[in-house]
Amino acid sequence: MATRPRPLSPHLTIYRWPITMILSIMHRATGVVLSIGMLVFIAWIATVAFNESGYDFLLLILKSWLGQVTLFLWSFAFFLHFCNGIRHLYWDTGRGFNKDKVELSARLVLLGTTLLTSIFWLIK
Amino acid sequence: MNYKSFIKIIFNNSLVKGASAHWWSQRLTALCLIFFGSWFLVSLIMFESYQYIEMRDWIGHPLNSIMLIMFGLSLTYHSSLGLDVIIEDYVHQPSLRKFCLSLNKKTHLILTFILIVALIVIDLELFNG
Repeated sequence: MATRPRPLSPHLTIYRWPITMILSIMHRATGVVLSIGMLVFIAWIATVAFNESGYDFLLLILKSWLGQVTLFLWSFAFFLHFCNGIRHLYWDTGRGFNKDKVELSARLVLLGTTLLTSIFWLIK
Repeated sequence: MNYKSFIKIIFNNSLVKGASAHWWSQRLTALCLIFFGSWFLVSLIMFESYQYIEMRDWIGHPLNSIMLIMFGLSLTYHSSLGLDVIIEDYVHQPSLRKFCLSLNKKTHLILTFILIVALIVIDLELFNG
């Protein structure tokens, strides 16, 4: 008798992604992105301290279109992690856990992120 | 599990102690970052040219230096804690996991060190004219 693989319970790919799940993954992903951004923050201060031509080079890269796109994505990551982080701190007080509230706060996070990112780049 | 033995575990088990310290550190640095992160982004908007001289004078201003060191410390600490969790979740092989965790910690310590030295250098240069 041929051995059949053991049945698996439905995996991530089966479901339509709920907004809460997307935000949960995004919180972690943006966290990693921001850790990489932290390197630029430290390079920014370090080049000002130790290497003026290094700073000019860093500025040149950040002002190129690729640098600007990267900075835009970093600002988006910052605001998303910022808003969703506040949502997590709110959860830490033991509130906001039922299904409706969790979905409402997820929508608020997306709205807040969009607004803050737009405002940041409009007045910059 | 009865209430007393639960309390006992919380206070005597080093693993649980480490976990609650991790939890609190992550939340406290998060609160710091709400404040210092907002300040940093507002500062970014207010710069005029981003040229070297402007940046040096701004970073070297005592108040900004203090804010930057607070922002930098909460940032590196928060980042280190966050990446710890990700390593613990995805690296299963015990010795590799241990290596990654220690590499993560060391990298963040070196970055923090660079940041502090750089800020001191900028402040001293401005102070000496």
